Amino acid sequence: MSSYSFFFISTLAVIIFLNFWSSTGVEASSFEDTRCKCVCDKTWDSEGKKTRAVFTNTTRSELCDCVHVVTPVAPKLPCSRCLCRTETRNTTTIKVVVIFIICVISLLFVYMLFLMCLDPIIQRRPTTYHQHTNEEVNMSRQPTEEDLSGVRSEGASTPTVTQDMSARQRSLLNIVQKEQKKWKGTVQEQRKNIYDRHSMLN
Amino acid sequence: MMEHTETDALLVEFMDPRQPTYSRSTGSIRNNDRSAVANSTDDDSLLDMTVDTKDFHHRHYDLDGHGRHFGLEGHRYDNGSEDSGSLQGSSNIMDTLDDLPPGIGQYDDFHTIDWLRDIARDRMRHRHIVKKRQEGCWEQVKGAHDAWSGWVCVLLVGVAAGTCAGIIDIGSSWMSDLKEGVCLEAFWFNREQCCWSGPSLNSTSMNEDSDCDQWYSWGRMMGSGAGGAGSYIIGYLFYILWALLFGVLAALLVRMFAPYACGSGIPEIKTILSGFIIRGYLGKWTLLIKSLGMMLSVAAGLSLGKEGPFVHVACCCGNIFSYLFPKYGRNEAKKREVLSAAAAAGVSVAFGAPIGGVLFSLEEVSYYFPLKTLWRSFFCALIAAFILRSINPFGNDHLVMFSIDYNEPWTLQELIPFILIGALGGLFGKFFIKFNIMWCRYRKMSRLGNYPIFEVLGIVFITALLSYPNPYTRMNSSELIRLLVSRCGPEDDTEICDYKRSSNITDPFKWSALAGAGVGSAVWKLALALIFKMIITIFTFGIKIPAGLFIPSMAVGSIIGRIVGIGVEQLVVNNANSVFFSNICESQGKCIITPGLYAMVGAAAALGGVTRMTVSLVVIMFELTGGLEYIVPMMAAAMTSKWVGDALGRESIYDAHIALNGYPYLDHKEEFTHTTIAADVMRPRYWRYGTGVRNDPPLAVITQDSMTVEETESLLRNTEHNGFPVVVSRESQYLVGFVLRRDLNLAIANARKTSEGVVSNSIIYFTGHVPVDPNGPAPLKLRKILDMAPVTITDQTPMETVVEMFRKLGLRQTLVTHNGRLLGIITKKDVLRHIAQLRNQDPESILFN
Repeated sequence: MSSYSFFFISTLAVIIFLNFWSSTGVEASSFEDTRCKCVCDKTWDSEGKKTRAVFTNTTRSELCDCVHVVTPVAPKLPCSRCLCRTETRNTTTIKVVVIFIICVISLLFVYMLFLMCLDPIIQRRPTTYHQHTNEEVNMSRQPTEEDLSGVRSEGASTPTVTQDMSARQRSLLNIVQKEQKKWKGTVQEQRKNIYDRHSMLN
Repeated sequence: MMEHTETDALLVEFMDPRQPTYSRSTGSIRNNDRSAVANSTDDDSLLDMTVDTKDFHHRHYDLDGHGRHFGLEGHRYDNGSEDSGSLQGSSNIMDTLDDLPPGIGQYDDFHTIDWLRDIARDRMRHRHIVKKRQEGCWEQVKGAHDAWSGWVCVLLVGVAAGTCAGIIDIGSSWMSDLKEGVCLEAFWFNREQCCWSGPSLNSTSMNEDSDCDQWYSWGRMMGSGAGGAGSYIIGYLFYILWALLFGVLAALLVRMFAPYACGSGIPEIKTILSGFIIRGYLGKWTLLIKSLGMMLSVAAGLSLGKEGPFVHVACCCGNIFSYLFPKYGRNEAKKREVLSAAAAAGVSVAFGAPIGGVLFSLEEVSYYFPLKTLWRSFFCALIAAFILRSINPFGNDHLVMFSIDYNEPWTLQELIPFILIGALGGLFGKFFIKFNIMWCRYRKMSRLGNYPIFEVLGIVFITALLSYPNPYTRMNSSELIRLLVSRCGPEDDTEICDYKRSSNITDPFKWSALAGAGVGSAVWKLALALIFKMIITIFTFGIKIPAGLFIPSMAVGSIIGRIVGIGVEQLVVNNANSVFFSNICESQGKCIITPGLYAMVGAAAALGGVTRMTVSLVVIMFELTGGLEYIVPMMAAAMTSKWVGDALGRESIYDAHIALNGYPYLDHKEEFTHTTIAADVMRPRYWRYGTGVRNDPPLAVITQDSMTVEETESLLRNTEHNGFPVVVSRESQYLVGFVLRRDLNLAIANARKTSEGVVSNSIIYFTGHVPVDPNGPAPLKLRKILDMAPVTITDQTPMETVVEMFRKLGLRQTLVTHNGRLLGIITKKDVLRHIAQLRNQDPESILFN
């Protein structure tokens, strides 16, 4: 499918762009990869019913306990009422995955809009376009054969090579179009099974 | 693996085709033989014929040169060592695919595969590779690649499944939180990640906004103050709008790009693994759209989960990667081994339970599960879990959101409430299945089915409208389960943990305490959430977006369990001096009842009631709880749930959906107890039922050496059978073999295109010997596509045996003979039709295709 490579390339481009944008825009300090989280019970808080929490950002997990984290800040709190835990995450993975998902969904959305709105308009005018494409195919085919024989007899010269290239591109386009048509047919068939005949996946 | 290859190598050495001892025969006898075959009509000449055909074989190898596969086989015939009869015999069908036109041995869409044939084909291919290995270094490398390709394939599948699961987990938790607000500084974080180093702690905290600066709820974004009525209304509005957006996007993507991505996928996977072809069901687009659709539909706040569809996603990965290895990609039976392993990986990443995944694959989805597949499934599930673990999607070093980490003891009396919860789970399962199937049938039959997008919109709107006011329905179902199964610790500042703990004992959170006012209101809200979830799930499961059933049924079960657990806890705490609770309570105020455990048991019970799993369910649960401590409560609940459910109706939700859609699935679990015989079921029916069904067309057969290409083509045009028995002649009806329609079509088309001299009145020969006729048109030799060892039964075989044969051997069809003559044919669909008839169901309305 042409759409695959298209998706892939544009997704990459958007990811790179967003990466630049985000790395400049956000101060990295507030989103660390490791945290030590200590939570103490609310009942022992002097202010009444509020959860007392103490945090620190640390990289070494052996220092993550109540004595090292809570006591320096709030010496009154008994350590038996607190729970300390080291947690790690990977902010880069999350960022890349979420941006990737946004890109894929928006690309699919755009492609869907194209298939729903523009494609029927293009497909609806076969009479005006029919002859034109026929002509084009005929024109392109004859020179190619000549060129090919020319290439064989004389060796490569620049104009024939470029024409050959364009013909190859056109044939590639044809293949892609044929693939797309095939794919559309399959999806159409699946849609008929599920949405019209209700023979599957009810 | 190594053991197998070595044995085969020995075998080949022993039967080296390079020193064959062919029997020689002269040309004059050949003609005599031919006439004998042609005229053999009575039983005596049948014997002659068998001898003659055997002779034919030898001559054939003589004439046709020493093809490598024929050489091997001819040798075996000569030795008279037909050690493993039918499989060896049928191995000549598809010896090497190289010299056959492409596409032979493949199947059409919505067709049943022939397990025996495919497995025989693979064995032949393997033997070929083993034999070639002696020819040089390169061939040895190729052989080694072939031997390990199964492991490489499941490795790749595991990696892919783990990666997909990680992406989906991260994406769906981010999108779900998007309904309520956004992390302005770094929009890619969900709420919990956004407040990672802020002053707030609990993502499950009930009082929102006030405690995290980075997180902007939509009300705060709009400028209204936190906690006001305006903020609530704006939040409500945005919640509904985002839910509608996600829902309609999911429905549109599914409709536009991959309609097969809707639903849970497990009924279809079960059908595919039992040997059915649904083209495109496990394709690239299905994978992409299913993954995205799962995130979107979970984010829309619908009462559905992403755990069941993980099985489908993993199977898509399995299918895609199997094409890298022709051994699996081009052999449907072998491909199903990879798919079984992939299904295990799917459950493994869904619950972080590799062993549970393997057992799920074995118990629930797989049809053909040899030991080799068991090991590969285990490997695949482990790899997938490892990959997901290293992605660490939830930031809690667990593979699931709701794993539990406590280890409180339980006592014997508590088994009574556990069994009660199990019974409730079974009841829920039964009623859920009943009403869900009713609703799905209504959707299928009525005009409702014509508006799938509007149905999704309607369900999303109702769900969002009703679930926002109740905090327990507003939150993600996984988070709800996490909240319910966890123990109240110092970090929990939620309503449900509002206990009057006494401050003068050393370890206050270890012991149960009297409930505060918060617990009472939490129980009410949970009860409302329970009713809402039970009802809305019935309407949600089956709409045309990706939707799993594990999470909603577990959520329902854990709500039931938590409510029962709180009830038992308060009962015990209030009657701590009672004799009944003497071993629960050490002293007054020191009783241990863990409501979270009840919620976990409830989740297992409800899931068991809906899916009717037992072993794999308990294993999944104990992998979730991380210890063997709670295995007895889980077992008690899962078994009770299954018993209660089975007493009310035997079908699981997946079997019920298979029956609703009419997939050709022959269930292993059901027993066939009727006394019918093969002649009652076979086609054509008039042998048995006389003139009443005279309009049944006669059996379409092909003769082995008298039909022309034109006649065969007209037979192919005028009938719709998927295969044709090949007989000696129309008068005698002695069976020679079976040929598939697709293969025949391809072979004829190919011959007309490529071989010279094949015209409409060329005669098709399925025999080894072809008479040389210089005047007539060139003959068409199609012996290679003929299955020489079709499974046959006599017309008096009881259907019990026939059904067992279909189940155990994975047959596609069997031929029925009477006194050695071909009488009719029984296909898998005939058997299914027959079973449906015996159950007084209308077979035509339920059978797919």
